[in-house]
Amino acid sequence: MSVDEVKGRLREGTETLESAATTIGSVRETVRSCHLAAIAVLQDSQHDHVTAALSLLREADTEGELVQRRVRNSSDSAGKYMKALG
Amino acid sequence: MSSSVGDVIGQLRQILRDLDGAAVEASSAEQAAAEGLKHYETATAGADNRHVDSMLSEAGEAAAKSGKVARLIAKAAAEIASYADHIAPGSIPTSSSSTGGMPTGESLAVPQYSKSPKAIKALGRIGQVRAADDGLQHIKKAVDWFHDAANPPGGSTVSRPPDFAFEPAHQPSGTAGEALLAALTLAALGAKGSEIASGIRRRARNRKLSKKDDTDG
Repeated sequence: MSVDEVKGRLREGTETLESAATTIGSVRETVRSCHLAAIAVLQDSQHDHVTAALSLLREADTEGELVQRRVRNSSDSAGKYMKALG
Repeated sequence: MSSSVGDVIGQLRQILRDLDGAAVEASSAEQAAAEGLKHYETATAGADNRHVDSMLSEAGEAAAKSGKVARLIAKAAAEIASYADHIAPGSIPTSSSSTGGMPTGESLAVPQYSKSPKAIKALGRIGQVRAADDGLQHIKKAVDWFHDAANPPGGSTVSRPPDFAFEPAHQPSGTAGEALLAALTLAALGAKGSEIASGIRRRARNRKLSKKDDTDG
């Protein structure tokens, strides 16, 4: 594989990963709005299912944020590697 | 805030629908991230570089965590469905998320609109359109029959009207009404036409008679 081919493939990888991060961004928005809606609908409920659901939604949002960060780190490293290739 | 159980269930259903969509989205993000990782692996096969190690491990983590997001959302949806079932047993039908797993291939392949009341209504409307269309074919036959009756072959000065444009998708009943009106108009024209023709014949006969009287007298 030539250097240009390697770079092209790396760019493809970065684009695909960034599309995943964008999708996760949209997922996080939905999760946060569902979390707020659930709090509003199930106000004051201390039922186990309710507290578990709200906690899981918060965790999903946090994990989503981590996905975005991982993608950013990965594409940064790919960019640095491409630079090193010349 | 709303207080009736029905309202709460309705709102929970909406939340579950949104979460189902989010879980599917997160799952597709997982696949995209895995694909991105594959591109990186192909591009860096055999490379020994710290940036390469970092990009591969971070991309792998991104894919894994996307899958985790999807699972967490599905679990949250299952908890909400369980709560809904607790306050109103049987109110939430078994859905992809409430079963605790990701949506099955079948649920992704089968269009969801087929289940919604709006879609059922729309499908019913399509059925009506089709039925109206069938009806229009009969009306068109009747129109043709009237037209043929009003215009016997060989001796007509009335040009054949253009074919009717049936557009049942817009207003099937209106189109049917228009076709019926056209049929009646043609029938009336036919009747009027023969009336006019007999009038002309009568006048011609009268003229002929008066001429004859003049010559006789």
